[in-house]
Amino acid sequence: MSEYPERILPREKWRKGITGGEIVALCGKAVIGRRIDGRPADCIDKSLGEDNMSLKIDALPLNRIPDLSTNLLGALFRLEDFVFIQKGEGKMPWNGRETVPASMLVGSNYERQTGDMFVAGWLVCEVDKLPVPYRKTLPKKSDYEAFRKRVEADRAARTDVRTVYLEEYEKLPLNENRQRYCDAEGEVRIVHDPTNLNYWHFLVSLYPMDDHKHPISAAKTSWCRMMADNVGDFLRRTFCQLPEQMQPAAIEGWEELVEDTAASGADKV
Amino acid sequence: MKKNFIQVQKIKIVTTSIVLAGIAFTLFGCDAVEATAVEFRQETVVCCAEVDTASSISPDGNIVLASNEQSTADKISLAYSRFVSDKGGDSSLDDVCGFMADEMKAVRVDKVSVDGSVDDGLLNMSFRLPDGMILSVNKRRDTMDSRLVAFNIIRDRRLVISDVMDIHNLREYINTVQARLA
Repeated sequence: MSEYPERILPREKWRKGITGGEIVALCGKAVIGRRIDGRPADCIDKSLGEDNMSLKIDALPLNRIPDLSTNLLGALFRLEDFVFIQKGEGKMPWNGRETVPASMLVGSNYERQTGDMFVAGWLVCEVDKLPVPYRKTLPKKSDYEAFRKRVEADRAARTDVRTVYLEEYEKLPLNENRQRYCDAEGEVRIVHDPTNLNYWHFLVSLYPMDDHKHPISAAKTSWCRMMADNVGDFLRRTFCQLPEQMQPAAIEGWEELVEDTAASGADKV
Repeated sequence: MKKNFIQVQKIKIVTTSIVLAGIAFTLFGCDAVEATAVEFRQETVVCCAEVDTASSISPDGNIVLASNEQSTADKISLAYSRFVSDKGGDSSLDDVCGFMADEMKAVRVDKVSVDGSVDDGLLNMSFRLPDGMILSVNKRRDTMDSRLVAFNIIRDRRLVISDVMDIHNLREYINTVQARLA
């Protein structure tokens, strides 16, 4: 019998793709949490006062953002489950169809964390759809025109955002290097990313203004790094230590979230 | 008004120092004057480090008010030294710190904290403003050719503003808001 909590495994007829909006609609106080390795005393900076404590950069490093790995609490994932770290096949994406077999629960697919750790949490409603400002330097007019077209096409394909007016290239302001720039606004989204051994795994992903389908994968360009730095800073300064500072709210009726309506419909037919 | 208040405290400190030195000289001679002066300085420094409210008056009206003399530049310097010490003496972010401190020293703050990643060339400087808000400013070395910084303003652990801006404009913006609230 494995020590691993089987209740957090993906199951047949559960779906992939739970959105932050759906979670918030069901439970306004839903919480995502992340394991922070180390002792709180070493990882938390209280030099601006107890009320303004923040996680140190080493505790939530820059290379973890974007696509910060978190787990949704309040349904089947519990605080004590954070001691398990998925690896190998265990952390590969779930195929979205089958119940993961118990044979997957072997030592090569997970390990139990034994060192000091604590859990940092954030309200889903405060992270999902958070606007992230960034600045794009556009030395060439053609770059800007391409960016503008992508923004317009992206906005046209969505119903949840308002249209924006982007200035003519010649009217864009100049920076101190006499290059034109555009102030843009991306978005943070909580993205469902179930793995073979953890259905409740979610990513904190960053989307640029001109593409709501493809999050930035690594903070390689300066504007990507700017977005990531700002979001990382926000997360470090707004976390709550769980359960000491915040008890994760129970998501009543979480079954609604996981229900694969397409599969249920097929069964009825 | 606050300038006058600080000046009065300066005079108070100098006067207290002279009086203490005088008493020491009268009672114990020249060496005691030096010892008293050292002790006095140490006490003042301790007060500066521990008390950081810029404009509060101590109930006993005592030397604790010397903390008002600690400038934002001093607080940044102290916080950065602590950061460098935590990083085992690695001072490779000196230039980034200098860039940020040059502007931010003109902002009135209660407390300063410095964090960063030496490997990534990123420095985070955060300030508790007198009204309790947190201003957190991020700067990377690879954008040093530009004056652009990313910043968040947070109140009660909730995000108020997140933006990118020329650090000079940010400083002027904070100064303007502080002047209006004063």
